[in-house]
This record gives sequence, C-alpha cells and structure tokens, in this order.
Amino acid sequence: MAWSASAIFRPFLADVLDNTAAFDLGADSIKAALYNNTPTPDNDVTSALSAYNATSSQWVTANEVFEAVQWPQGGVALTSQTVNSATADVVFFDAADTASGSAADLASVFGVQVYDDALATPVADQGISYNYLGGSNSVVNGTFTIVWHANGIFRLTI
Amino acid sequence: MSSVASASGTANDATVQVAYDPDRAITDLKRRLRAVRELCERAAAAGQLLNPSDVLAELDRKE
Repeated sequence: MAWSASAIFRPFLADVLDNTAAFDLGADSIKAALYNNTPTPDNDVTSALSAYNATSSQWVTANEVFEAVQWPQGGVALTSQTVNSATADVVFFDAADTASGSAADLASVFGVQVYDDALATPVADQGISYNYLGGSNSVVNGTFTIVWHANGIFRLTI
Repeated sequence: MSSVASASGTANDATVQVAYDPDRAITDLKRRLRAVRELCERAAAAGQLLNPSDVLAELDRKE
C-alpha cells in the first residue's frame, strides 16, 4: 500500500475533546516530517501509533525522508500556525508554507506527517494529520517547499 | 426526538514547490566542471585513462 489521501488522525480529535492530551496548535512546536511511499497511512490508529517515530508505526524514521540541516530528521517546524475560526461553520488549522534550506537533496517524498513536537505526555510527538503530496516529489540542490492547501492543513465544517 | 449535532473534517492534500537559486546553480556547475577538468589534466599528465566513476563521483559531489 502507499499514500493516496490526507486525513486527520482520529485519536487526535478524540484526545483533544476529552482532554487526554494538551494539544495547543497555536503555540506548540508543530512539525512536518517527510515520508517516502512505504507508509500506509491510517487515521484510525491508536494515539501511540499516530506519533512520530513510534515503534511499529508507519511513522518510523526508516520511512522518513530527510537531510541534515536542509530538512532535518524529525521535520521542520511550522511557522505562523493558526487555528482559524473566523468563518461561519468552519474551523481550520493552517500555517505558512514550510520550506527547506536552499540546498536540499530530497527524493521520493510522497507525504508529510504533522505532529506536535511539544507534546510529551501521555504520548510524545503525537500525530495530528497526514497530508498527501500528490505523488513523488524531489529536489536536487534547491529549496523544497510544502504549499499547504488553501483550505488549510485540516478543516472542520460544523 | 433530538437531532444529531454533526461535523465533518478533512485534512487537505498539499503540494510541493521546488525552487533553485540560479546563481548557486551556475557557481556549482562551474566548480564541478573545473574539478572534472582537473581530473582530465591529471590523467593526461600521468598518461592514464580517466576513470569514468571518478568523473561521475565528482559531478555528483555535493557542495
């Protein structure tokens, strides 16, 4: 299997709603880690298995694409992240587009895991969402930028 | 009977943009070509055949 779509991790929403985990998307260090096509993302996994580099998860570093300094292992922190509720019936999470250094070599990047790097308990680095990048992407000695969707990283319509 | 309060949510596909700095690319190309030229000159001076793998390694070498 492989990447084919984006999704919000079910345990993320559940853990926010029942106060199991203290996510603060507007203030925490939220990171974007790149992955090759080995993972089979699943939004219905447990909280523990949604976390970055969780043992036996899809998000182990063996599946990660990174380059020291340019797009470090563990991902690049989002900037200007915001939980936006200014539109009727909609709450969405967004951030500025996320860029590598200017001399990146990255290959076979299929998707990105968005996780809370500040969260230590009950699950460290718990996942928020995974976002498909539409296929294989690469860069040689250039800048690799994730352009987040106009509707945000994730969007809730109520 | 009450109705169910409902919501739907989705994470959105993102796209990738790749950009290159032209000055960096030209500088890097010049450096690699100079290195290959030096390889050629050394091989010629020594009367040796140039090893293709050395040339490829030099071209692939990152700044």
